[in-house]
Amino acid sequence: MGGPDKAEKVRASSSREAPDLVAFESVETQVVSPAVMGNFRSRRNVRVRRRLRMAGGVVIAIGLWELVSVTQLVSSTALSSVSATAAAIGSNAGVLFSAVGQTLEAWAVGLAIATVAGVIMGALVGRSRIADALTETLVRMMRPLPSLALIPIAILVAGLGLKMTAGLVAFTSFWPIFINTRYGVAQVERLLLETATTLGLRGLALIRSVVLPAAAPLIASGFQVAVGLALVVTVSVELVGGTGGIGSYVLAAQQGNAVANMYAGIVVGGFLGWVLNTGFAGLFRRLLPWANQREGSE
Amino acid sequence: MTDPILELRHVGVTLTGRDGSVNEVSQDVSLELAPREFVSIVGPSGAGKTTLLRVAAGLRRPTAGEVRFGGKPLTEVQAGISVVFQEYNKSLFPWLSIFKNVAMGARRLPVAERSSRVRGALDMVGLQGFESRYPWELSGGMQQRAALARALVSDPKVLMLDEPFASVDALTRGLLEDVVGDLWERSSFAALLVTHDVGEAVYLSDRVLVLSTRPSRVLAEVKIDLPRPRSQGSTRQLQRFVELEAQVLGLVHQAGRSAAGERPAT
Repeated sequence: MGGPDKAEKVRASSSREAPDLVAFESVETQVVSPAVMGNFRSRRNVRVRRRLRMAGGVVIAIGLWELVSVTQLVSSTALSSVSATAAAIGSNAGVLFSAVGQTLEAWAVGLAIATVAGVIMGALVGRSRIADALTETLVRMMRPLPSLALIPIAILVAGLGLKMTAGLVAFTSFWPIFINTRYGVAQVERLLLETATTLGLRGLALIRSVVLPAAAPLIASGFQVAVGLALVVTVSVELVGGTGGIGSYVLAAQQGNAVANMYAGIVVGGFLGWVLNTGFAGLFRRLLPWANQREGSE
Repeated sequence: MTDPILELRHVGVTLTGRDGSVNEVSQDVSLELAPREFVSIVGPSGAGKTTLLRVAAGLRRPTAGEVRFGGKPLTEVQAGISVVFQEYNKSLFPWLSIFKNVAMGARRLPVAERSSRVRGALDMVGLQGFESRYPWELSGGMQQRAALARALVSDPKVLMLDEPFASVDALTRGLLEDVVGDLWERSSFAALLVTHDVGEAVYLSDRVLVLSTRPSRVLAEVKIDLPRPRSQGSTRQLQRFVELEAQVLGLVHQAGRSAAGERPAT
């Protein structure tokens, strides 16, 4: 019959883009096997055991770090001990706190711009074949541009400071959001759209009430990639441009030979990344409970 | 006789592929659906039954002929026609609760009435108590009940059913057939059912139309003179039911066979 065949074809043609995107599952760190899903108790045990192992990994890494520094495998002028780093975090808590604040500010502003622009443009391009063709080559050219290579341009345009950092962050994190939105919007089931049409939905209402929610799991996984990317770019730009925040803190510590402080900044930056990633992963699990549900039982 | 609520006049559908290939799905199909009437379309697979239903629903424009709804030409989707598709798992909105899914069908109703109408529709299909559940938490049969509630909440003039029970097990199918049959008896909509299940078509319908293979035409019309109300237990035991089912089945087979050889004269 004509219907399903055609739907297959549409899906096949849009899956050309598939390598570009990041599946929602891959962002999830926790994969529960279907066999375990049924039994809540053992599922819970599996989760607890997994958490313990994850914590164990961190403990092992800290142990190795301490071992390398105690045995002077790496000289103490290049690597501070765990205890010295911890002490540096404690004594510089105030400065680090405000550095984290500055970093988060640029991160949040850049990511917010990228999200709004990425979702709007992704939805537009995903819904329109003309827009898709017009932007295809540009996307392929601009996406691989390393954002750090754009720092000079950004400085010329915006001067040193928050605007420049946020701009570069926005540029970099735009791509995963845009690409996932474009794909997510393009691959919404035809049947879902037809159903919505028969219910009287069209135009903007159709996009808002059906297309975007249907694409939400893919948009969310694009956003999660952008979260990490945005932090990397924020800290890198701060490090190169000396515009404040964690990056500048690390640079200043290195230039002042304050090795423990340098590592304190790095550890805090890493922790910040972990908090943001875990936080958004948890948020999306709550907001999009159907994302990992393929179809109903029976 | 009353004026038909839905009419297909010499409808032809030709699909043109992206590669320029031309595929004539339907050729000169005419049918009339009276208010409150239950009509089924059966035919060999590949007869373009689903495409025809899409045209009748206003989801696709015919390449020839016209569709009339309530005496006026139907050129796009319109209030008053509801559709239930086979793939309930792709036609319910997974991000909305069952209540909100059904409420999507009530969008054209006055705001004040919506809640009570949605609740009423859920009661009709036996889904009371499942308002806050999500589609993917329910069985296939229950999902299709929700889709049915969403289609009927707006009190449509015509309900179109595209292989609605093809994706559920036999027992659930029987139950859902009775749900649809009961609702149809109690409400005022006309129903157009596309199915490959001849027994189902005979069981539910006033008339069964048999389509030929592509390009499809209406080969035969069989009036179903079984008493109502019908029930799985008694109706399917009737001698008349068995005769009618055999008759329609014979016509479908004949239509399928003619695909290989010459076309039967109409």
